[in-house]
Amino acid sequence: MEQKQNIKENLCNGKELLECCINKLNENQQRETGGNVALYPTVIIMMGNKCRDFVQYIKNTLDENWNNACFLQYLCVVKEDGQWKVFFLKDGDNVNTYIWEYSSINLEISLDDAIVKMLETEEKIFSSRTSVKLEYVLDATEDNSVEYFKLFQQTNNTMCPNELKTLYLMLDQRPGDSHAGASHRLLRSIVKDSVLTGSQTVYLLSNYLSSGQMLSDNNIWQNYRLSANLILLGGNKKGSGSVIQNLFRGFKTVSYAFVTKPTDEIAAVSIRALFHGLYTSEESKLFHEMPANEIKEKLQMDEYNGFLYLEELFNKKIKAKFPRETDWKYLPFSSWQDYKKVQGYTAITLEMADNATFGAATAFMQKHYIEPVKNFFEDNNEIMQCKEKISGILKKNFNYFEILYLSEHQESLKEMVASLYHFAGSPEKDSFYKRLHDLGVYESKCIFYNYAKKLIKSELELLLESAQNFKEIYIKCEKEIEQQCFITGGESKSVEKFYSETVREYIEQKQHFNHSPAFPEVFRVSNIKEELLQAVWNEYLGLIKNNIYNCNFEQELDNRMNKLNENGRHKFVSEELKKRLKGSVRIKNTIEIPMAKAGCYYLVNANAEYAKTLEAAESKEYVLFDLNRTDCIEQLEIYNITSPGLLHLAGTGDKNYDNTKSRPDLPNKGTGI
Amino acid sequence: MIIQKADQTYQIRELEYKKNMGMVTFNWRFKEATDFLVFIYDSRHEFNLITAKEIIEEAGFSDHDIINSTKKIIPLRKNGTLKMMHISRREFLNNNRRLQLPVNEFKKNIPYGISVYACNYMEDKKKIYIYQAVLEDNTCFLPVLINADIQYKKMPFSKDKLCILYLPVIDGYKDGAIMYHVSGIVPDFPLPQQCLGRELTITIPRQSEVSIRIQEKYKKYYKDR
Repeated sequence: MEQKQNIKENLCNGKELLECCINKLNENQQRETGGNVALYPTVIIMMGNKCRDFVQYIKNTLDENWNNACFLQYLCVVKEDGQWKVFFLKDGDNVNTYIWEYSSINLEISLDDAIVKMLETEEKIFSSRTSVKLEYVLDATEDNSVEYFKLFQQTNNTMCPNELKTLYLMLDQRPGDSHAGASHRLLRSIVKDSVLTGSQTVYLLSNYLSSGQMLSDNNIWQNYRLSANLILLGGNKKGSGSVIQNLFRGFKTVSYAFVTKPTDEIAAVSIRALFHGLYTSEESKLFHEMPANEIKEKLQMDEYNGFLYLEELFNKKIKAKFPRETDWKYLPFSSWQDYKKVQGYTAITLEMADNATFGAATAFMQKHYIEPVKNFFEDNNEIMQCKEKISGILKKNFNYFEILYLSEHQESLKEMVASLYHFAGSPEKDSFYKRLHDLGVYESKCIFYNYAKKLIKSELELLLESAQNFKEIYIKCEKEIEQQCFITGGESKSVEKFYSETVREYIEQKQHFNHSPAFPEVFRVSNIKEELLQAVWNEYLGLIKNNIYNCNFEQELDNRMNKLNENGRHKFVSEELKKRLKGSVRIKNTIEIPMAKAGCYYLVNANAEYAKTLEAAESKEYVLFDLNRTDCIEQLEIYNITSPGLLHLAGTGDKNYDNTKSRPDLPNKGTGI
Repeated sequence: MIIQKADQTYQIRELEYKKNMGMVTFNWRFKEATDFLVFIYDSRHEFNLITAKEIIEEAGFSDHDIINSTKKIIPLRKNGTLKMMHISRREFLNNNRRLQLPVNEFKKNIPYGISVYACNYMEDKKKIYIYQAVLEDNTCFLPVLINADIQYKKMPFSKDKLCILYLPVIDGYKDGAIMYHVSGIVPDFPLPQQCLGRELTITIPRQSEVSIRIQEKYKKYYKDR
């Protein structure tokens, strides 16, 4: 199976690889936006520094679900050095970059500019332009939060008299003055002093749920996604007026539940199984006992203990400079008779030739057979090229697992390589000059192999060392990924089982179709850590092309949960949502306060079976919103807080948080809440 | 005698020689010098000015002696492998910037090196200041002329002929320094010591000729006539 290489920017460790795998799988869950659009021009205003970093959770949800989301405007207002500063969100090159640029010192001016930008769009972009929606988000623990709230109340745009203002107030009920204390003070200030006008709505979204569950720093994004859902529900073009009315006016809170395809976990299980499976599968296939003749064949050794590639090198670079064998005829002799006598020798040796030529035979051999080979090995360039050639051949002929095997038999290997080069000998009928020539070639080759075998030995040592290093790198990367993966709960076991099997099938299929080794890019001995991670990433991309990874929530559940029938699935989802919805009201008060349920909403892709079942029921008890994502089903219940004066946040204990100094704060984990 | 570091002013350049009519004539160029010291040595042994100075001092020659021994060759080693000569600037210029030595100063079978150094003689101190050379421009070599005797003998009804090659024995000969070449054949044939001083018979193609060649690194020792 061919894979399209997707070069990531320098994956440095297993954690980064895991994050990329998760992001990629999440990316694949998104579809092109469906038919939903924002009805009104909408401005999202992030108030203060703390909530600004969470804008991505709002923007991503709106971008995924509204076709015209790119026209919405985002502002951020902060109080610095006693004055307000307003920033607008600039369009980034990358969908994940959020750059705020300075706009003005007056929110109203910036607001007007933002609204004008939207009004200037083509008519079809926003169907209704007589109203404008202003969505404010404020972290209750922000410094000067009371002033921010007043700003929310008092800021008006000059363009559209009909403005629907909603504040999503993020409460932090963790103990401590800067958490629960600050949230409590702001809340008391709001409910005591402020009266919301007809066009103003405040949603109280706390991290402390009615069940006692507290959202951690890793989960607090849910409240921002929830606020985006409320924006979608309240501003969607498709939606009946009465239903939407329930979303506005007064103090409200929300209970929120969602079931989602465990994409993150699927990615984690898959990459972990892939990393492990690649090694174990290839090892079982490729690590084997190698007999001596197999090793020799891979080393390209011949029967004389020479090496094919060295023979080629010798012939090309050294032997080509040798004299012709007939040139030996022109040696000096004491007489012509001696010359003829030597011609008759059947097994002439160099000594015999020297005796007849006063040592000229050795001098000739020295100059024309020995010197060239010595000169060759004095040339560093030649040595480098030789080493590269040897290294290339070794890497090509031995795969990683075979090299590991050789690592365990180093001594035998070195002995094999170092074995003496044999003289093939000359046939009896050869002339004396041919014999002398062959002798010269042999002497030269012995010296050549003496040098060259040392090079082979050193390259082998480097290769064996590389293999050991590679093994350590592989194990390290695998550990890094494992450390990031947490498997808990029943669902996790089924994810583990199902996707591990999927990965196993992928590996087997590749091994079946590809020649050995099946994953040469992964098991390249010279790979450094980044290259290994890149290679495994590429395999992962191949793996997730399987349709199993691109299923929507229900299909995935179907695949994994032993093929539940339609009723079974519906029941499972309903029960899960019910379980999660119960106790998920986004506020925990010290006393029970009256809350009236204003509406129930399901956000689910219209093509999902669950959506169709809900729609078919034609119930007036809930409203359906066609969510673009296919990997989750969300349910919201809106509650009107009819007596906001009774709000006293739980977590403040018996402390009087109306004054600032009360008890030491919990360490701030730096999330903005 | 005091050896000074190389100085651009006291440098000898373009030392050359010519052999003519029983004389070897040396000439060179210089900028400044009151005197010149000429060293003659067997080029097969390394020449070193510092070593030469030590030999001079061991032999008991004073600077004054050297200055007064104009145009006289002083042997510094008994075996004749190192000799020295002084010539004053005036004498050199008077002789048309030449130094002439009889050929018989140079033994036949010894390759010589000649190095000339510019000096500054301080009369008041009676000291010779001799300046090191920067490049090897102050040195030239007199290689031994090789007289090879090459004769040919035809062989009837044969496509070959015989070449009889004779080379005299050379003291201190380096094996392989002299080679013979057969025309039409690519490689040269280096000759070891044992080949000298005897007649060598080489069977060569009828149309070929044999010539003598000197290996590159021995060209300062030997020269083909």
